[in-house]
Amino acid sequence: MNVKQDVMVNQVIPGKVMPAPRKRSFSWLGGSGSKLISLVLLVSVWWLLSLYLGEHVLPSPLLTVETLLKDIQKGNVFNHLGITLSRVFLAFFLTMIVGITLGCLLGLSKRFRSFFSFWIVIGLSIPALVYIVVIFLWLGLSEASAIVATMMTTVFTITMNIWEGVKSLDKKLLELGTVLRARRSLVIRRIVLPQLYPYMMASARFGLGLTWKMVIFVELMGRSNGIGYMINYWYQMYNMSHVLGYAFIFIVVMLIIEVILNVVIEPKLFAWRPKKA
Amino acid sequence: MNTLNSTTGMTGTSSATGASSKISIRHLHKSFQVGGAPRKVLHNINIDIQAGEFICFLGPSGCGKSTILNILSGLDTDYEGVILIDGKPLNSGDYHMSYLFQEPRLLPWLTVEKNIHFALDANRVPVSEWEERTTKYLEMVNLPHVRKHYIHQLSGGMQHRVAIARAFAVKPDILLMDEPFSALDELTARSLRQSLLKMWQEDRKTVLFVTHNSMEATYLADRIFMMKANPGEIEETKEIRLERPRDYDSEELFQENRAVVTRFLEIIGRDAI
Repeated sequence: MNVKQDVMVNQVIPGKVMPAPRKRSFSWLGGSGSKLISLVLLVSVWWLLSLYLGEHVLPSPLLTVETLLKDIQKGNVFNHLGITLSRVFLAFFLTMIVGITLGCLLGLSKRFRSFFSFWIVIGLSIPALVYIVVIFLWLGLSEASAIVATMMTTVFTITMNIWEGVKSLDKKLLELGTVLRARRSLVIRRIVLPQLYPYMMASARFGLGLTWKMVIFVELMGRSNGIGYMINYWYQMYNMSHVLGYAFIFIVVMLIIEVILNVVIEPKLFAWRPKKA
Repeated sequence: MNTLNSTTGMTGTSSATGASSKISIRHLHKSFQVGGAPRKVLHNINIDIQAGEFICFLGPSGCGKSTILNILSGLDTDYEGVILIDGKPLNSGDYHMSYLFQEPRLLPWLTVEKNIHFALDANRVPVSEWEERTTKYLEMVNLPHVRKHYIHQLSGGMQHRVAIARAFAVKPDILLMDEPFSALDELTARSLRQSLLKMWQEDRKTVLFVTHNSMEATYLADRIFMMKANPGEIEETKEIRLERPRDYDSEELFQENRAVVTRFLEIIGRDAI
């Protein structure tokens, strides 16, 4: 017989148990010291390259930030940033809703799957540029086209991911719901959704990252405001410091949002998981 | 006593007896397709179980004993025959049922108390009773201190205890148990059997317990239904008249078990071992 098991038997009766629930972990950030050095190195490389290539081709970090601050003072940076962010979030939420719905339908309904799974495969293989051009041609250079075009470039990947999650639902836990005669809403809330959260979280992170890159692209192709438009505008003017300034602030904002997703929301969702060694 | 031997195939009188039983099963047949050919899993099962009885199904693996529980629990709806609970067709009556599986089947994303709350919620127990019931049944399985723990923080035996607490917390009329202790080491299994009997003796639920361990069956049961495989049939019903509480190491239990084993081996054939 297993000795370890016997020890556990003895532990059952007295008040001794395994460690208490873990605290929130910030290990994702890693050793902040080495991260800082790495960041300083990156900025130095940028600076050295700008010395070599010249300010007109690659503005130095200092000049970029200076230009950005001037643009902010003039007052329309945050305006464009706000417009782009609202496009990103609208497209992102719609993509998640459609992707999760399609993924669940594919996973749960045999009929839906046998009929539509092929569409998803085709949808995945069409290049983003084709979606953007075709949708602007069909629907015109409108706000709706921008959102739809962005969605089309990401929604099928999200769908595939959620479909995987539904496929791997634990049948034994679903049986538990049946024998307890749990109503459908309770089964979904307590048994189905918790198993899909990891897939949703992975999809959200991936989806957001892809969406914000696509929105910039879509703005460049067919809108007259937003970060993408401004980058294109300054590119036409051959003014690199403005191009980098707009790119810089947008990247910083999106990074902050991703960190919030990683450090604040994710640990709360997965507190039940055993701590990784 | 209400002992019914299925091999004699009583039909005329049994329907009258069935109406007053807690669970009454008549002419239960079940087959499923294996590679295109039908395979019979259960053949003509006829049993009556009274309220408050502790019943063990003892049989070799593959005899369909778990299938009977799956049918009763509503997991398996593909069968022939009539099943009455309190005289009403299966799933139509107002009864509470708990199913204790081979593995604890706790929800890992919920704490121990939330797992119990889930079962209470599913059974539409008013929220005002949740606290009291959770406390009571966790105390009964000697685990009052793990309420806020997640499942992965408990040992295997403790997880089974939580599963038992959850099963009892809904105050089931009928408790189905499918070899719940077979994956555990003997010492843990013993202590859990003891807890189970203690809890059962408090309010005498009707228990249907599936096992392939004759000693376990003899220790727990009022009656043992001995089954053979291919197709699954109930060959004999054996009453265990030992007084409760029973002692797992007593001479009487040992003797009784020997009688059960002897008969059981006759049924399944010695070469099957």
